[in-house]
Amino acid sequence: MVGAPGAQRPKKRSRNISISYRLNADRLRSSLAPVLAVGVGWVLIVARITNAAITYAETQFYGLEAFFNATDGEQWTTSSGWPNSTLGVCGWYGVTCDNDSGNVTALSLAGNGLSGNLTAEAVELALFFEITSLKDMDLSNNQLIGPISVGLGMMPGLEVLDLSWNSFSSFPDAWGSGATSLQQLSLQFNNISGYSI
Amino acid sequence: MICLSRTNVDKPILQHEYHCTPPPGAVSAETNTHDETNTHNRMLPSEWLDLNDTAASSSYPLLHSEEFSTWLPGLRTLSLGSNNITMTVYQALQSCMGLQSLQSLDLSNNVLTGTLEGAFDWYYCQEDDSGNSGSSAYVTEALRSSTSVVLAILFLGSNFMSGALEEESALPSSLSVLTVSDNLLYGPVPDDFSQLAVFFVGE
Repeated sequence: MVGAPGAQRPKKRSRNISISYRLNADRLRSSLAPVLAVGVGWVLIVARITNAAITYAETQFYGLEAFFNATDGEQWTTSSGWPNSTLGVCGWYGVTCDNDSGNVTALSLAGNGLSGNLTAEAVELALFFEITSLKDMDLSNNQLIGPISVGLGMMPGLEVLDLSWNSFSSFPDAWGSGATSLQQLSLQFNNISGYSI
Repeated sequence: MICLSRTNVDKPILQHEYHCTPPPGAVSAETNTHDETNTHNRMLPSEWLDLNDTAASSSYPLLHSEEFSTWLPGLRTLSLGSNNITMTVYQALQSCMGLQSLQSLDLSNNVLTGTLEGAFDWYYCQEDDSGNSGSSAYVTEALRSSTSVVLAILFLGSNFMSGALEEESALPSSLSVLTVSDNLLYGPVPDDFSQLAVFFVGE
């Protein structure tokens, strides 16, 4: 199997993430809303070097919560469990976890009324793209729009990505430089006009 | 990246030399066609070989293969069918050049134009260590079979490709399934295509 998800990897990265980044992000978002992009989110994370760190479990929770918000979760066809912290992400509809570690391995939300642009809410969505244990993501048959998110191409554990039957419009240049494990990419039935991979 | 030319060793009387062909419509520095041995030389402009030229890089991603060499190294299946992809089939195949593991590519039901002639020539573009731009060498059939390209399945049906199926389109030896149905192609099926296990060319 190509690219086994590294349990060590998220631990190593979280050492550099400050627990205070979310508070700063709220302030920053209101004043710099037009500037926010996934790139800015990465800069924020790297710039905050403190002793506090978030766990991988928190990365999964906050990341999936951000994903829920970015795709208009209130309007999903089925959203049982989302985003209840007491239940835990492994009990949320469409989320598959590894029983031993509690790491999220699959996200299955096909035909579930997801909408919006996965680059919105970019600062917190950066944590979603840090869920390195996620191997299989099925977002097919929804109403997702816009360019295919750069973050989706930066997930080193992702092996299968199904974005078919949506309304994605384009491939950003140089998409996928971090998707070192990706084996299967499905984009049929979208509005993509060109690509240069 | 420097391009090597190829020769069809099965037909020594009719020799075809190809360098990396520019995208159709582009202007090349030298054009020399129809000499005595019926060779077609289409030279790549030297300025395209300038890897620091960012303007060129945006127009001709083909020339910067080292930038693509580590991207999506494990990607085996890429499905882009039923989109609005508008480019020539040559450009579409070029754009996937960096995908070293790609076995199956679906580009059906898009807006691919142009001919299949020379569409696979990019397979034979290789690094030339001598750094001698514009140099040429003959790529034998053995080398054609030993390229690292593993593309086996290619769906090009329901597009707008035109022209005749080229006699020496030099299909990659890895290719075994090719669909070109529902295009604007015409003419007899070349002998080359006998390597294909499955070939749809109806309508």
